[in-house]
Amino acid sequence: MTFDLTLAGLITLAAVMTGVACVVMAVTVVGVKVQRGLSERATERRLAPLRPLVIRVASGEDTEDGGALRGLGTATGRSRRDLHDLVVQLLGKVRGEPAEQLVELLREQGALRDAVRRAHSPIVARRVRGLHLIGCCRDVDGLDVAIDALEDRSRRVRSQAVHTVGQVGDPRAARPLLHALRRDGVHLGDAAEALVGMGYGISDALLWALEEGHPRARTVAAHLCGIGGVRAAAPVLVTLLESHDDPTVASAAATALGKIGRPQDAGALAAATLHFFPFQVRHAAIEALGDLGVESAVPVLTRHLSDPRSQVAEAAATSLIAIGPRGRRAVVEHELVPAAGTALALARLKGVLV
Amino acid sequence: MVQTPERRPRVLVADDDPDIRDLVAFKLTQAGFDVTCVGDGLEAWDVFVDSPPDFMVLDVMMPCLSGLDLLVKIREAAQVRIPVLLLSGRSRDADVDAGFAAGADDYMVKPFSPRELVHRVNGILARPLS
Repeated sequence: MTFDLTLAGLITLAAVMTGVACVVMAVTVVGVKVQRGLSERATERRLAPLRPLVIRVASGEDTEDGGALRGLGTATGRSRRDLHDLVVQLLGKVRGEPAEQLVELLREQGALRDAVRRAHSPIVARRVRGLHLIGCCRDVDGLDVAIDALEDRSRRVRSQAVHTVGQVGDPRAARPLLHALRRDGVHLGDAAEALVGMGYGISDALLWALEEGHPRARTVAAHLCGIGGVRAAAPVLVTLLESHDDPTVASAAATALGKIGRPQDAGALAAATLHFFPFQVRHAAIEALGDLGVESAVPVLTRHLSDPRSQVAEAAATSLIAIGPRGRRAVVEHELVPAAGTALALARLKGVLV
Repeated sequence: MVQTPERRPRVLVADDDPDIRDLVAFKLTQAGFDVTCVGDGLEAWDVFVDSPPDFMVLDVMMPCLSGLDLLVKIREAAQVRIPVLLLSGRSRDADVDAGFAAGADDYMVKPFSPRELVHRVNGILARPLS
C-alpha cells in the first residue's frame, strides 16, 4: 500500500490529527472533572455522619462527657482519613480550646503515623501535606521527619518543613533550621517566626549561627538575639559589625546591639557610622545608638545631623532625641539643620518635647 | 393569661466557607440566637431587605458582593443601625481600619475563638442603640 503525500494530503492529515487530539483532550478534561466530582461526592457521603460531630467539637460545644469526640473516634479506614483532612482544614479557622481538642483528636487517631508516611512520599504535594499534618499534631514524635525535610530537594517541602518545626516548637530543630537557611526556598521571616515558636532553648543554636552560619542564618540569628536580649551574643555581634563583609548581616548586628543595650558597645556602633561603612550599616548603627541611649554617643550623632544622606541625618536627629536631655539640647542647638528641624517638629507633635 | 415566649435575637451569618457558616451557626444557636445562614453577599442583601435581622456576622471576602460593600450598602439603606461584626482572614491594620471605616461594630480575625465570638455578639447587643 502506498501513500500519496501531496500538500493537500498533508494538510488533511494534520487537520485530522489535530481534531483527534482535541477530542482526546476534551474527553480527558471531562473525565477528570467527572472523576473529581464523584470523588468529592463520595467524600461528602463518608463525612456526612461525622461532620456535625466535628462542627460540635470545633465550636466548643461538645457534651461534658465528650460524646462528639467519642463518636468521631469510631471512624475507620477512608472515612478516618477524610475526617483528618476536615479537622486540618478547621484548624486553620478556629483557635482556643476547640482547636486543642481537634489536635488531641488527631493525635488519638494516629494521624501522626499517617502524616509521617505521607512525608516520605515521592510526590511533593503529599510530602507537603504530611508535614502540614505533623505541624497540626504538634507532636514531638514527628520532629525528626520534619528536620529531615528541611533538607528536602523540593523548595515547597523545605518551606513547609520550616512552618512544621515551628509548630512542633522543639528547640532541637533550631540548629538544623538555621543550617537549612543556606539554601533558597525558605523565607527569613518564616524562619524567624519558627525559631521564636521554639522558645528560650535556642540561644546556643543562635550563637552557633552567628559564628559559623551562612549570612542568611547570621541575619536571622542577629535579629532574634536582639529581640531576646541575648547578652552572650554581643561580642560576636560586634565582630560581625566590624568586619561588615555582608552589609545585611552587619546592619542586623548593629540593630541587635542597640536592643541588647550594653553601654560598652557604643564605641563599635559609633565606629560603624563612619563614611566608609555601607549606607545601611551606618543607618542601623545610628538608630542603634539611639536605642542604647548613652550620652557618650551625642557628639558622634550631632556630627551626622549634616550627613549628605538625608535618611542618616534624620536617624541621627531621632536618636539624639531618644537619648535624653543632652541629646535634645544638641538637636535644638542645630534646629536650622533640616533633619534636626524636622525631628524637633515631630517630637513636639508627639508631645516628647514641649 | 398565655405568656408569649421571649423572642430570640435573629442573626444573619454570611460566609462562603460552609465550615465557618456551620460552625458559627451552631455556636450562636447554642447561645440562644435564631440564626440564618447565606453563602454570598447578594443573598445576604436579599435576606436583609426581606426581613432585617438583629445582628449580622459577615465575611469580608465573599463572591458576588464583598462583606465591605454589603456593609456600606446596608449602612446607606437602613433606617435603624443594625450591628455588624466582620469575620475575616485579613489581619493587617489597614484591613481592620477599612472594616471599621465601612461601619462595622466589631472585627474578628480568623482563626477565631467561637466562644469569644459569642461574647462579642452579646456585648454589642447589650450596648444601647446609637
